Amino acid sequence: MMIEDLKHLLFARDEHASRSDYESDIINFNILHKPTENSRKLTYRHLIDLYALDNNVLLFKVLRQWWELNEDTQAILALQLAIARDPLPARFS
Amino acid sequence: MTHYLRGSAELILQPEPGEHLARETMEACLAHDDPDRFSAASLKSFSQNINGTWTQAGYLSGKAKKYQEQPKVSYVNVAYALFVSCLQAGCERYFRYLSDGRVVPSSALDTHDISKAKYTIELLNLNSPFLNNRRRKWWDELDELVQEHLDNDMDLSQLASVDLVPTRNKLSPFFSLTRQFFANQAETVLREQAPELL
Repeated sequence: MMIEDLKHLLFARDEHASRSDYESDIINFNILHKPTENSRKLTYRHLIDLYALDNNVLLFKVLRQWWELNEDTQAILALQLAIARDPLPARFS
Repeated sequence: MTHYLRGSAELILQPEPGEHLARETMEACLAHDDPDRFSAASLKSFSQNINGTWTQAGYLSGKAKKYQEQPKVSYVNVAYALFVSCLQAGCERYFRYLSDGRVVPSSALDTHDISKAKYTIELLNLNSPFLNNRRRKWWDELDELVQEHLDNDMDLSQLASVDLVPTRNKLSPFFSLTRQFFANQAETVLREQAPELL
């Protein structure tokens, strides 16, 4: 679930950052240290799928606001968001 | 990978801490619904990814061999889970709208779900005087319209559809209240004219 990437990304910006800020950080500034342009784009796309990275998505906005409350809980918080956005729940019910 | 995450939760949350979780068990879970969908290699790779995700979150430990762990869950996670629940499909069953404008937990809920409903009502301040006022006015308006329709022998489902069927992909304000107000009639209208909302 790319938790280390997510931690780095959110650490670099405050809670008001927009999706294009994150996009720019990953693709133009390569703050996640990806070796190729393609891998930077792929990383960005995966992170969007998992976490939205957009304050217009309420679930992400709340996650971002609560992110720094307790560092130990970040991995589960990220997992919760990823599961909530998981599109195919019925397959395994 | 993410498509199978939620399905795997059942498996992860089942066994006791310390118990070994074989990769084959996860593969079987992923293949359960449609055994021919994935090759053996894909199943192995998906299982490794999903097990990796649960490991990062603290639910599993070990590298090649995975064991169940008791994750460190805090109040932040609990609050987030409660918050998520109010955005899930079917969440309207948690709430009951009253003619005085208030929203309360539905009486059909068990104690666990009542606490979720209460939490959501408080968190989102759903009983603020402003909202209560708006809801009460809307309820009264619906009441009058229904009376008018009945007096003139007009079709109530027409009336219901005006406020239940989305216009330009948007729901009318107080959709859930309107839906509850029209009860069975609302469900019929939605089935016929906006089945995607059911």
